[in-house]
Amino acid sequence: MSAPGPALAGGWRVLAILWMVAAVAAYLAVREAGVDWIH
Amino acid sequence: MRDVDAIAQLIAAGLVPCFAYLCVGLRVVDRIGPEVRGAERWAFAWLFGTGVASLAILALRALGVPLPLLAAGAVAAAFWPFRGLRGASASSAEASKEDADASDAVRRIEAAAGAFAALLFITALAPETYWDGFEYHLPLIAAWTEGPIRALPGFVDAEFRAGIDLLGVPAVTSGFPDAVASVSAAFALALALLVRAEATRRAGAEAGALAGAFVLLAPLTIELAPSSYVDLGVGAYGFAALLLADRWNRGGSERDLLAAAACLAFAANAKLNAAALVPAVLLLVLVGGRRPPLAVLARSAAVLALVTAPWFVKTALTSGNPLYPLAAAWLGSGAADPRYFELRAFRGVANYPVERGPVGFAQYLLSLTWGRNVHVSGLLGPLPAALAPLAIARPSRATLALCAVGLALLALLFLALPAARFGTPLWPWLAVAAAVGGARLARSGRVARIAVVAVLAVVALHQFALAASVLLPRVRALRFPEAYAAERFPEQATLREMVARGEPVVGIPMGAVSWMTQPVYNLLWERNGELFFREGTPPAEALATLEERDVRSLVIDVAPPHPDDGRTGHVIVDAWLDAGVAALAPEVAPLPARGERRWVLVRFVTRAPGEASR
Repeated sequence: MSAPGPALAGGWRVLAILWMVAAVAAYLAVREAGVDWIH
Repeated sequence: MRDVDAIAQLIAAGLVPCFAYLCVGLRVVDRIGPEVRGAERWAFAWLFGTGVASLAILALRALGVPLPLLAAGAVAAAFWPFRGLRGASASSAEASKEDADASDAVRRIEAAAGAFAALLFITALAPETYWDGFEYHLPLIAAWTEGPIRALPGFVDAEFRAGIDLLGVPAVTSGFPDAVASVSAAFALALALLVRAEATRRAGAEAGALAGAFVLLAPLTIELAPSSYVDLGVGAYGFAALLLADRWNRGGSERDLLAAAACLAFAANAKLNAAALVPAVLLLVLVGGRRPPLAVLARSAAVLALVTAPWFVKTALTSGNPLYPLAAAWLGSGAADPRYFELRAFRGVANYPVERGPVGFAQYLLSLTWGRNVHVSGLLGPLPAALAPLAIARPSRATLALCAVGLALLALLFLALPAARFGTPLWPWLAVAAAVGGARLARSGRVARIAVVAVLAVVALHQFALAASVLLPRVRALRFPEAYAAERFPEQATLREMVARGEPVVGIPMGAVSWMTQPVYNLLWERNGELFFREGTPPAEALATLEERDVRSLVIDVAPPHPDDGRTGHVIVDAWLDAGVAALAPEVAPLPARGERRWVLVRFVTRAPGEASR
């Protein structure tokens, strides 16, 4: 098994968590709340 | 309504052929497959078993040899891989040793994924209700089951590659068309196993188990697995080819490249547009940092040529053009109208009606996750977008080559066939990247791990709820198939009823289901490839085409006040009514079609069987 890259630290870690949460929240908003911002 | 016996027979009709293909695969994969072990070996055994079995079915059905379920059972018995199973057990044990430190969490995830895979397989046995499935996949298998593989003028899909469709021949031969989709569900499982193995290799057992489980839960899998669509199969073959080419770049053996060539051939045998993967795989190994010797490339090309040859021969014999539908201008288009190809290409692009350019491409990439296009958006779930970017680190040359080739294939998809189901060879890479990105974030501290676990739990819950809403009604449909099919497409049940009253061959309208109890001719240009049944086509020309195909009656949908005023609202049909060559059947009461429309029966009144075209 190869390592999945170096662990994220500091600002990158915060940014990564925010991106992950925002991406999933936006997906759920489009899918379930009917948000239509791109086609 | 099916009783328990009938349900058991249906399950057997789904299991026996799949088991036979797997047995064939376990016998051949050690000889002609890549060097693999553990659960991945089962996936490659499935790919090679189906690829080889499909070619055998092509040859046998070309000769008219009947292939009922009994034949599949005999193949399973003959190919029972005693030594292969021992080998599989040994390699499984080896893999188990590697995963000895796998956490309870991994075991629980895999148990849940296994249970879900079983649900996916069982629910695939409910009636086909996806459009292309009953419009051409099942009718095509039925046609090649009722007679040998041959030209089928007026049924243009019979000229395309159908390697995966042929795997449904035993089930249809024995009267179980609902069991055909079991093959697609098995391909979903194979894809999940391939992703699991690759993600485990790159990011550990936990990430691998989760990646495999989310492949099964993805909306695209839920859409395709319970149908006779072949895109999951094409995706599994295509992904395996790219996977093996990447493996070569990272130090793999010649066997990996030869197996990649075989997988490419299986993909192209199932859908010719998958042949676009051939230059992609070649490019991948040429720029991946480990250029193969010319002799190895030549041997791989020979495998590709050998395995694709039967379909080139078949298409040359039935359409006159071995590359059909490519190069139609030079090599001919058989019975099909050349305009058909232009329109079909246009229709494929129109699935994502955005101007082709850099901005449109960016929009397409965003729309894959956050858009609302029914053919493109949301089908992969949110994890590729949420986690794959987190995998970006200092990439090796092999990874850079893989990303470049993947991006080029994505651009090709956007330009030519943007619907998500055509990208199945690529999407598993996003699942692998998401596994790597997720694993990286999860080991970046306690808070990060909690965040990853929480997000995965929310997504799993959402995807499972979506999947359950599709699959659970299909569990009940095993017992009540007619009620389920009628609920999904109510007007199709009445169409079948009306078709049963017509004199065969019965012409049926654009978009209507061809999966009927007696011979039908689909009036939709996409299906017949020769007749544009709409204003602009001279009625006499349309009539001549239908006469050539022996069409004796039509079932068409009409809007009020038709047909009470003696008209149908279809320009061509009304012209025939005026000319007295066709007549409404007054004794057959119209039946409900979509909305306010009604199905009516029209007969060609002045024709006698065998009468020459006027």
